[in-house]
Amino acid sequence: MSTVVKDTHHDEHPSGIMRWLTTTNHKDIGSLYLWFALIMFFIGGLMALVIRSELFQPGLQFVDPQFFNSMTTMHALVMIFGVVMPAFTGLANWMIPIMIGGPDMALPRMNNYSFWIMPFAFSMLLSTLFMDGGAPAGGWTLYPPLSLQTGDAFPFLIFAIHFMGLSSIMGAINIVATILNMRAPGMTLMKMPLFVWTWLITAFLLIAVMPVLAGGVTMLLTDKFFGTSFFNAAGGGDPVMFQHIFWFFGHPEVYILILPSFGVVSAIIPTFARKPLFGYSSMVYATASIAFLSFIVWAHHMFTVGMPLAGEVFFMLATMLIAVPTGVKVFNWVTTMWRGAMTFETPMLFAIGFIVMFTIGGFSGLMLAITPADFQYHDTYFVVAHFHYVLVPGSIFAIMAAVYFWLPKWTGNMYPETLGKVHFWLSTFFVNLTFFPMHFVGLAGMPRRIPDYSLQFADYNMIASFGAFGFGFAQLIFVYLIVKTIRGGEKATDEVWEGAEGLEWTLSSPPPYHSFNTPPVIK
Amino acid sequence: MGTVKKLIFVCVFMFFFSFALIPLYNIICDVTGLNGNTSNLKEKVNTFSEVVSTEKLNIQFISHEVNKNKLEFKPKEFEMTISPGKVYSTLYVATNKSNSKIVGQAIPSVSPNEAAKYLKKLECFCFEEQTFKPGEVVELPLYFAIDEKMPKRIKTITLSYSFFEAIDVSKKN
Repeated sequence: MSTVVKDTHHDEHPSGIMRWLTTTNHKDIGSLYLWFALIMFFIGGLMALVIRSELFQPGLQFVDPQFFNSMTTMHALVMIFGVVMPAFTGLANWMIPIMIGGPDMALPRMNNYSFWIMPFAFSMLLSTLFMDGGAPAGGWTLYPPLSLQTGDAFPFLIFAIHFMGLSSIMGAINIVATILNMRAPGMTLMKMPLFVWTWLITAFLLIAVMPVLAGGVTMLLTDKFFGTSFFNAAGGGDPVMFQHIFWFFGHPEVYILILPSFGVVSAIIPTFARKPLFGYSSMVYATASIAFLSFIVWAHHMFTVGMPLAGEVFFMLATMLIAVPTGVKVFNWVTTMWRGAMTFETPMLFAIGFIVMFTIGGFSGLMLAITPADFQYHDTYFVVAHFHYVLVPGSIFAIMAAVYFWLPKWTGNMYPETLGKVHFWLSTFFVNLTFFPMHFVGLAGMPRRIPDYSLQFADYNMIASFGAFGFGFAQLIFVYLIVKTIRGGEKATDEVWEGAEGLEWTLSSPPPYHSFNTPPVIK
Repeated sequence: MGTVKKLIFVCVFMFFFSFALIPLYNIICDVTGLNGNTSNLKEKVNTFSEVVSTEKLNIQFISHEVNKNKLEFKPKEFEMTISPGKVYSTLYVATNKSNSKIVGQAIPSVSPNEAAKYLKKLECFCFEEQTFKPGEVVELPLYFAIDEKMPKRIKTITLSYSFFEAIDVSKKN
């Protein structure tokens, strides 16, 4: 595709810890984000296992209900803000500059700040576990008045969210600035890889909605400590107003968590099907439509608060409309595979797993969109099954697919293929064992966020708990495999995968510390 | 760089937009009529016709006492049978059981939501702040009518009042 000027004489950087604290290199910062996400994945996973241990049998066994509620709240906050979002930002840092032929991110110093805010934000959040009154236990959605009853942890929670938001906004500004200003000559917008496109749209979503979350939690803070009454009925406020503000952020947020996965899958499927991606421009437009629609569907999270009929009908239909662009994407991936010369290496397995299981989550989402049906499903385990299907075998599988896909490029070494496949099959088996039974108990009426349940839900909960522990332990294979690949292994070629297309594969494996100082020539 | 400045502007704008959402929701609900809240304002008598419907429906009165030991706040009648289009009156009774002055306001709520906009209040103690001296028993009048345009399927309306003390910011916490 192009001739690459290998420029290695700028490789000097401080050694030891100072390299990582002061780095402004997009590859270093990408790695930091990914390591951070991996560590938080295990912390959040441990919390999930506390939840599943308690729910293994009916009755109260291991933890008290307050701590159980803290676990559900913290598990969500850690997994959303500490795992999926940083992991995608890490992938963006690593891949976007080398996918568009730019030398680095547009704002390298800010890139360093936006990463190093994260460990402080999460130290603050996790420190609440040891405070008087316990960690936040009112759910990650922070609905008042319940969330206002949080003890000493409350201001820590709010400021941790402010910092996470700040970090995401800085990251997003950097990504937009990079994509709009740092492309190599000839890299027009409609030639960009889909991962870059999906991230561009995600970054705009982040810039638009993270400040709304910041505003909403600031109002909670002033309601608690400064006597305002934004959400306090006694002072003329309205607690439901918080739900509107929260979900005005929250619904675009769920697309922030999934759109970059669409980009990852759109990179992997064509590689292993050895065919160009079917319907590139329709993929771009579908992503943009999903992003637009995400702003006008927020109230489907709150059908049961007592909305007027016209509101419920509007939000139901707008929500169902999202299935159209999402369907376009799924069909495009399937059509890309159609009659392709497919091979099933680990990244491809994760990508296909993503398509199948994300679609299951999409269908349960459509069921939840039906207002009258949602009155039954609301706040049951059916909702838990739905969003775990789109987030675990959805976003998390896409992140794992991306790691397997680009790890040989990052490290210069091939990962052990058989072990990767074992990791995929164990993860797939256990993730379904965990979350599929939740559909049944949810439809039967088991409420979420409660440490105890009626006897008739016992069997499926036991199965789900087995699945959760299996899934958790299977992830140790992932860590082992990453460490082993970094340490050594069979050398990867520059192209790594036979059918790979794109600028990243024109660089050496591993790529030089500074790449594309001279812009590549784009065909 | 231009891009970064624009993006920072969007961030700052959206932060303030989140605060603007509160009045915006109220404006949008008023304009589109998607409002489930009953009005806290006096209705003009001539907004509905003098035709008295022969339909009968029940209206129930309830109250929420936020702090029962301080202020007892109850409707005098719990239920009335009424006809749409006619003006009725009833009373709520407040008893200050504490040793201090209570200042606050009653906030109305109507169930079902759909009925809210057809319930017209001509005179209500909820329009303004109330002051109760220690030990005082006060009868609070309410004059209301149901607009006869209300859908026939609504047979029972519940009108609920919660009395909230005015928040003294300096004393909070």
